[in-house]
Amino acid sequence: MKKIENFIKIIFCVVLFSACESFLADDINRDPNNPSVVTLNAVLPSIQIRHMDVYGGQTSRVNSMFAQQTEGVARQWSSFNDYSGLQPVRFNTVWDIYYEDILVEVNSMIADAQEDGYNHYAGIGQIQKAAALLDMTSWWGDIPYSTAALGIEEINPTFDAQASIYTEIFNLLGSATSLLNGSDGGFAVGGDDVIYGGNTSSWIKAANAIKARAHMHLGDYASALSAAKSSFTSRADNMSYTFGTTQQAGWWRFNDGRTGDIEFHPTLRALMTGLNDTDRLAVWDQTFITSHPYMKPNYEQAYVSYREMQFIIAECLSRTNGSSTEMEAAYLKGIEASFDETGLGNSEYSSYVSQNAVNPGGASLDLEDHILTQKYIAMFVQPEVFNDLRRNDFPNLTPTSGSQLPVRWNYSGDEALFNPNVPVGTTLFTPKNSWDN
Amino acid sequence: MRIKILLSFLLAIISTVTFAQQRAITGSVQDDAGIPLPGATVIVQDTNRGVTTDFDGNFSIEASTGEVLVVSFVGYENTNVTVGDADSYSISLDLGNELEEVVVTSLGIKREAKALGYSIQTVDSDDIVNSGSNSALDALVGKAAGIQVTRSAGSAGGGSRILIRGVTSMIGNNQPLIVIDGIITNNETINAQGSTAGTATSNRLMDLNNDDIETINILKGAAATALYGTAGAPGVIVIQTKKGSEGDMKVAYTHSTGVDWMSTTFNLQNDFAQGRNRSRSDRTPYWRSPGTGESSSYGPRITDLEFATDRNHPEAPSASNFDGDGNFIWDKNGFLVTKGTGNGTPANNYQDNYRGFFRDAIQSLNNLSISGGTEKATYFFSTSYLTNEGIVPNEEYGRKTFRLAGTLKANDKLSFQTTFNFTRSDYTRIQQGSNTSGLLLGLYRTPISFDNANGFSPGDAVDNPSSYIFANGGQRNYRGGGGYDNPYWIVNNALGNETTNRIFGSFKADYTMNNWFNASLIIGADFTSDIRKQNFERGSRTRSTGASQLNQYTTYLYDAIINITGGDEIAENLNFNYLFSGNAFSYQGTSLSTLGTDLAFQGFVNLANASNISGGEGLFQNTQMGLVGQVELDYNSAFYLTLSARQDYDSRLGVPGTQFKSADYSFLYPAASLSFLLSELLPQSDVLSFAKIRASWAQVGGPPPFAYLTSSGYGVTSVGDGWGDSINFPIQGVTGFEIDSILGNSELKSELTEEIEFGIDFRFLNNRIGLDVAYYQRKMTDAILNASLPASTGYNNVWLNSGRMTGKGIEATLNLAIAQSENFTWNSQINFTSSENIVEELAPGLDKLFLAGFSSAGSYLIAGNQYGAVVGGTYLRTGSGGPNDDGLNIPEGDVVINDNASSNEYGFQAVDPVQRAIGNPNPDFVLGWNNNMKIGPVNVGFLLDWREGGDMLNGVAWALSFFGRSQLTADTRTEAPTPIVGVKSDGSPNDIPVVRDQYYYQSSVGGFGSVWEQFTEDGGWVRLREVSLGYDIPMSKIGIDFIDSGNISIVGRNLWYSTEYNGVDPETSLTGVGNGQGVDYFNMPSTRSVMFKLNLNL
Repeated sequence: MKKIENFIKIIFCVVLFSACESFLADDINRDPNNPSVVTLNAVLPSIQIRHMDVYGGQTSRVNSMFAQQTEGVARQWSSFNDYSGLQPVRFNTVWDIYYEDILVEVNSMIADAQEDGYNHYAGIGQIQKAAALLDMTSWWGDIPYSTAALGIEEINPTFDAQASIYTEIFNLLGSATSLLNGSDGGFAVGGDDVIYGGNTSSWIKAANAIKARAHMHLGDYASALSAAKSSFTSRADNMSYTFGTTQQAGWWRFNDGRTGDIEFHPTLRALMTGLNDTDRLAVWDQTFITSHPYMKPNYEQAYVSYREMQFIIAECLSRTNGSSTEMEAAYLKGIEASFDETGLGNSEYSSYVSQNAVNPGGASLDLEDHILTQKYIAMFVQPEVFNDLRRNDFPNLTPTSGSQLPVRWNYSGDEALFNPNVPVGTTLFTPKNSWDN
Repeated sequence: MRIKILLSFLLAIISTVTFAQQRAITGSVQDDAGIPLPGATVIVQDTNRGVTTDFDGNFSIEASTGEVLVVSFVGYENTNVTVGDADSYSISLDLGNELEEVVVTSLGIKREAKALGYSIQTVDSDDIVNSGSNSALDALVGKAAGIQVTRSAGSAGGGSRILIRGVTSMIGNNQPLIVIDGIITNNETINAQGSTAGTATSNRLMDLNNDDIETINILKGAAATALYGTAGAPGVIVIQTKKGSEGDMKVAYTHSTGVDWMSTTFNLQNDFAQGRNRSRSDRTPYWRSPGTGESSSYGPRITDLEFATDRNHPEAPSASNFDGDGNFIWDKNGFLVTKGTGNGTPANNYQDNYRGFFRDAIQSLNNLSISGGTEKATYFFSTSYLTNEGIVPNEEYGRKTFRLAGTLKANDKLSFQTTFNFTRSDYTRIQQGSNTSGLLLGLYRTPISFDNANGFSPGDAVDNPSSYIFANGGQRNYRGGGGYDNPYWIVNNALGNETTNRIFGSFKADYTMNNWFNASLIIGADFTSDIRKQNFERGSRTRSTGASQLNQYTTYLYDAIINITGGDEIAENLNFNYLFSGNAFSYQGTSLSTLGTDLAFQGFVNLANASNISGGEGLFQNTQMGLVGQVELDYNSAFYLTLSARQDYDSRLGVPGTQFKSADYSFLYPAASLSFLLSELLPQSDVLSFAKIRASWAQVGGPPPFAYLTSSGYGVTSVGDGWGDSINFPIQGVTGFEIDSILGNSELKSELTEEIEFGIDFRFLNNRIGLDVAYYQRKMTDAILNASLPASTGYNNVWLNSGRMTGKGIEATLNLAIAQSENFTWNSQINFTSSENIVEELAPGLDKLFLAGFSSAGSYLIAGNQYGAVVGGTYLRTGSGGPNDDGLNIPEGDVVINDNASSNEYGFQAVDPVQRAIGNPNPDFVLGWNNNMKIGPVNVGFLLDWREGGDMLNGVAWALSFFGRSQLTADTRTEAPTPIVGVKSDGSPNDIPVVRDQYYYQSSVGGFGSVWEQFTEDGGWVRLREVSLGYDIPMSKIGIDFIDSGNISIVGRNLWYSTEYNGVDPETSLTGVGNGQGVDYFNMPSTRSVMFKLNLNL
């Protein structure tokens, strides 16, 4: 009996007093599932694929619907198609992705890379950041930037004017180019760069391509032309990511889960039919299901592409009365790249552009009837179509409901709920972007 | 050899039983004044043999020498008489003014009920076992005041949520602590597949066999649970299991067989076929073939259609709808055309198929227990085997339990007790809720013109793949292979399997030295392994490339308690008792997941057949320690004062990488309670036989709801935008991490609840009427919540101690002994619960926080509203944005009508862009009325369950209006154009006539639109929860000597209910047992059941 008494006493002492620290502390509350520090090569792929996915996913769906290349026909998407269902809460997710899953990561990546002198990571980070900012200001106009992505240091970020965002984009692209021309500082970018595999000259071309797009927005055609010419020289240069057959691209995943919600738009169908654009139409104008020949699982999602650059060159030359030979060449290269990208061959391309309605010859190329029309077609489901629509007021679309076409995205409903600085009174129809005349 | 052992074992049992010779024992029962007590109960302890005394207080009962007669009568103390050689006994009962009820309170400590200054309620084993439910939580409905139990769905093996006094934490755990035999045990619900989709989930208390339960005590308030510290904040359910008692070996066998069937289904329209209107300008409905992928039933009346097989018919669908032989692939009878132009065979209406889809499900339970003991030791062995089919074909739940329990008195001072349980549960689960493989999506949305069973009877279609799959492997469903899985596909090709192995047990040693020093040590461990596999055959709508998803979870709990108690009379009429206790608890959970997708071929859903495999792992652990001190003063057995304090330490407050300081981990919780027995001071009275007034005050804290909230890190990136499946890193061989969107907070401290409670316990007319009322108020501060940040900060949430909540409630239990005659007793209990928890404050600048549901509508915390408000889009009101609009609730004013003539929604209600609170899911009160009657050998019982109020978001009505499947859409689509009530933008009454047809229900004020307020409904009910009829078999009279007693009964559960709710049974929750409640979205319908039960005691 004595033994048991002693045993109880011992247990009592041990449990209550001496074991306290090791039982409670010893970093039991250190999260074993989430590292507190990671290296740059673990963050870069996340930023890149996140960005490509949001760009080729919800951004592509909403913008191509606004540009009447696609049509929401069922469930939530039928009310989105009428604009009425696109309430602010519907923009929460994309807004969140840009700030929480791209901007805060890219900021931390650039800061870490610069601290350690890893210039190439810093340069690529700045280009990714410029691309994200260009998207955000394109869809939303004024956005939080200078006080954003600082966590609880600033819980109500203020909104910066769109002009200052463009300035920052050009600064970032300029800085990136010089960083990429420098040394890698001992940490070379490799396969973790899922876009260019660490190839710095490709990145510099991409920086120019993004610069060209941004200048187009602002109507600075001379700068756009020069930047576009310094960008991609073939489709292989595209700033793009090819998704996998089992880790599929955004449209494929949408068509898989939401079959029947979105279909090809009659407006684009009518336009292409009128131009005898039957080959591309045959590929694109099919039911949006997983076997859709264009919206493949391993789709090559471009952020900026060679064909866009060629159309920018053609458009700039047309607007600045530049060389018509050069203009025609760029125009045709843009169309050809589109056929190529759609999986069509040279014969389909040649017979298409042999039509007078498509190519009446250099001097006769009309800005709207040819260049902007062909760009609108060639940029099928690329989010930039919504920028072009607003920039050019072309093509001439009839609103699907009401009397106005959307001119912007709604701010995130949650942002408006939690941040008093969100401008009030914005809708899909007002205000316009600073460059949208 | 085995057979020999078995036989000798059986022989041993039989010989033990038959040696106990029963004979007739007679006697009389009177009070201490010698007045006979008619209607007193005499039962032989631990048997079902029992009689009541006649008008003269006499009784006669079969008993054998050594058995104990327990004599009881309401208002008197129980008296035990051991049967000796004599055949006749005169038994006198003492008035029971001093009810020596002993209840098990916190930390396994037994206390006299009358000394308690707070509310505890006991539910006995009979009330659990006879409930007709195999889940102990489910069986508690209506049987105690202050609790609210909700089943999450009607699935076999579906879990239940229980709240004691509403919620105590904003986003943390609100389910009470479950303590079995003094040990904290696992009642987790693990959700592997997202909160709004996937399969039903269990709560782990379902692993306990109801027949093993002796009593359940419900510790309700902060004072009652203060000794448990933070873990006890949501209330505590203390379960004592059976451990055997002194006496001959007893064998109890129970068998029950029952049938479950579907209670109700949604009110679907029965008239209109698949199709749509030609256009906005030509609103002629026309039939569209399943091959078009058409989702809606806005087609023609089925009676206006007939079959045709001629492919040249002008209304014939396109070539892809026909096979090589020219047969229409979607219906063996042909396609549909306008009546009079086809082959003359009227179109079939397949409406009844969805009812036929559900089956009558069989459940059966076999339970065997063997118990007994000597003065020194007792034992209890049991095993049970439950099989429970679901009403959905192929849905199944099976459970096997094994239990060993025993006690040993080593000597006068030292005793031991040990329990050991093993439970194996197997589930075959069905997909439900918001996912394209959710059963009711496909079932309810299917138009009446499409036959999911493809000509088979519903029963045959389950086993005939040609009902749901084409020869080419494509899926046969009403949307041409898109949309939602055919229900017959789901029950064959999208099943989830779950296997749980659980071991839990406890060891207890009690040492009694003298009045001033007693020690006990309790140690328990509880280990659960939960292995799941979710199959998606290639071609499933959720995963068109097929998937095999494996999840493995383990949960390990370890709990050790040392109690030192003592006390004695320290002055005349003044008693002093103390308790000192130390407690250590640790939790460890692991998870391992593997997802294999892109199966190469059909027929083998297995990782080996997957071309893409990804995985993940997780480890979650936390530890807690507590030191408790308590003193109790008892003056004259009339005043009891209890003071206690608990110092708690919790690892979840630790900040990694910092120096250990115990103060950073700890907090102190005080409690005080007072019990005053008024009846002790009053002259003894038959009218007021007992009166107690009680009051208590306590502070309890809550730890951070999860581990690891004091720091932030990176997580593996999952890529997606919510409109399709996400893809997870590693992607194409590359890993990727991103910064967690929730910011940790190293300053986090425990949240604090302060509660004050008053109560009375009055009993009248010799205790025939008893009324117990409790009122409490509480205040919660420093509530921990994941405060929303604007995303532009780069983060979604930050953990803060910033919330404030207040609560109050009334609970009442009324016990009535309505009849107490020799041949008829009727005991009735009414339990009333009303509680209200108001979210006073969330965080500065934050007045809305998401809990669960969808982004367009769900359960939220809204400052100033009751907990868990239902939030969704609303119509625009004239007051929207005005001075009286708080931006959170629906403002006053008329509904504004869209009068923009060019809008597609011209004449419809205009939409308010702000999401607002549109409902309160918390009931105003719940009331249970439980009745037990005994008429001679016949037992009758029933339980009425009334839940008043509590809003539900009817997501089924919302979605089905879009598809034109709800009866509402059939009623309104043919009405003459009428203006919707509201005002135009100039304030004048609306005069724009509209028809509420396809274009209305497919707009932003219809299904899948942003406005939800019209789909918020009252989810209250009155329900016949239980009804039972039993009969005690007079074994000796029918000449069966080897059976002591037997009982047969029929138990019905949920046989009737009445509700205003339009849809399935409102007792449902899309998000399961979590904090977010009040959302109904294609959950499994609830069931009704009838069970036949046989109970034998040897």
